[in-house]
Amino acid sequence: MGSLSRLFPMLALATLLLVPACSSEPVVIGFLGPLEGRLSDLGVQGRNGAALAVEDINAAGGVAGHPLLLRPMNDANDETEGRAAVRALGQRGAVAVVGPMTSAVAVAVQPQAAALGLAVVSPTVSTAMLSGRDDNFFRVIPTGSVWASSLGRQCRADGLTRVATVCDLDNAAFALSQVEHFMAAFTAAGGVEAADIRLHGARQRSWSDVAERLLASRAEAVYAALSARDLALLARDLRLSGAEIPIYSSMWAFTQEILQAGGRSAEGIVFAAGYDEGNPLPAFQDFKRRYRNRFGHAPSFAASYGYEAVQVLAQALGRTRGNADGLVQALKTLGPVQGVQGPLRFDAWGDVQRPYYHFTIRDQTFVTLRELQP
Amino acid sequence: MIARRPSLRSLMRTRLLPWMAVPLILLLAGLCVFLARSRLDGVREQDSLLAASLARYVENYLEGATSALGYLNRLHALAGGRTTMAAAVRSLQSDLRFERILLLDADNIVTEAFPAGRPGLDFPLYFPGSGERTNIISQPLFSAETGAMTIFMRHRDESGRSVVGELDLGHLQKHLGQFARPSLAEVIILTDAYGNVIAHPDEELVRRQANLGGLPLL
Repeated sequence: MGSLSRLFPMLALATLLLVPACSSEPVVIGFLGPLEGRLSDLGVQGRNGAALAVEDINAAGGVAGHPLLLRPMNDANDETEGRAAVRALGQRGAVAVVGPMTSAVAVAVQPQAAALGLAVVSPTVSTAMLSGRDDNFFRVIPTGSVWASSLGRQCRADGLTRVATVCDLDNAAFALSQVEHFMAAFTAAGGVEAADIRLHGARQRSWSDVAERLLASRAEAVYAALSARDLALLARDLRLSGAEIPIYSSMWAFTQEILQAGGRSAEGIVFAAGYDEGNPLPAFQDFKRRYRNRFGHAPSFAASYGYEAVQVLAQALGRTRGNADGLVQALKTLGPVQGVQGPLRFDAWGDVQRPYYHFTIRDQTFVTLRELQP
Repeated sequence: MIARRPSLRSLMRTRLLPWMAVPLILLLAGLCVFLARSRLDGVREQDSLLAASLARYVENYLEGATSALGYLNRLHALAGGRTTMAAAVRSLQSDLRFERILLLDADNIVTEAFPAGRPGLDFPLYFPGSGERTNIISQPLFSAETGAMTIFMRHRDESGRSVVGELDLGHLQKHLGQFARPSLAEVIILTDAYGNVIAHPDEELVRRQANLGGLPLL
């Protein structure tokens, strides 16, 4: 017995020498967005931005000594798929969710995430439907209704009197509110609604009939709350019909896809967005350079805000030692965080205030027209 | 009282055996590590040879595709007729390399599309940093026409006229898959220079534009 009792510690020592030290358990963060199909520009860029932030944080030692692990899930911009993805993330030990990327899914999954005790930090959801609520939902993008109103006033100031709107009901929580705020501001300034076209982008096989309806309405301009690919297709059909009709757009289409898919037809589209594409901050310029070097293309607002969402979450997780318990409270009391677009701070409802901008496309590049304050 | 001297057997059991066991275990473990590393080195060498061969194959595949586009471009400059072009494109498409082929004028306007499309607009795809290079391959992107991930290739002649081909990545994947030996659980993955997945046996990763650039392997 005596010999065995001496043998065991030696064997244990040998085992310790031979077995490499196990790294600490990772803290799992879920990512939720449309990663396939026509809306994948938002989801893929958001996921890539979040992945870059995770890599940076892990290179700097992780959160409370734990590495972060990002688990991307595809919600297909579908409420049912979104809820299933949140459930799966909860089962796989996620402590929080970065996402969703579209308002429709955010409104659908927020209660379920709350029931599972998951904090949700969205990079791009700007619907007012989730504003002013004391819940588990946070976002690094400001609420979007003010952008749409500003564009409605601008459209009137540009001398236009008849405007038609096109709204994608696949993301109704965002698009309907954008169209309503645009039209309210436009008509309040003396403008007239020429047509109100509501459709489901996913079911739209051709955009030529929409272009025909717009032209038949004798609208002098169009306001679109569509995704980048859909707006690009509509713009191309409008140009093909020979119409030089000005297009105003919500932030939804403000990604590289509008340049890639729209080409010259997208030239001159005016956007309102709560994001500064030409931000001169060294932190943003550095982020843009590193993102391009890492993924081979320029980041959009979805990528930048995806990065910021993980930054914010990591700081709050540092306070909870990587645990989900107390994370919502930690986010609420976080104080100012230095994001790549500038400092951001959650208010009591988990929302942020940031300046917003009007942009246009010139020579396949986004150009800032003016900065506006909320 | 004289203390009893321990027997040899007892010494072996209590002293020698435990102290011999540790170096023996370490020796065995070292031997195992050495053998495993030798085997791993062999696998790595084999893998790098296979990867080099595959890279050459993909290069040839893409060179063949751009040569074909160049041939079409020259034919377009010489003949130009829709019928001649359609026959040439059909012959090219018979090897299933391309989903779509577009003929562009020097102003980047689509003059012909195969299968038939709606000419008259510019070809919108932006090739960042392409400069004046003749042959360009785009990054992987979602095609609104086919609803799948794709890569565009372009051949441009001196006059600025171009032929653009939309690659069928499924076809490329099928070709690459033939090199993998399922019995050895081999997986062949093709990415661009940034780790963006172009071909992968798990098609979901292609559809989701997965990026493997963060893996130590890449």
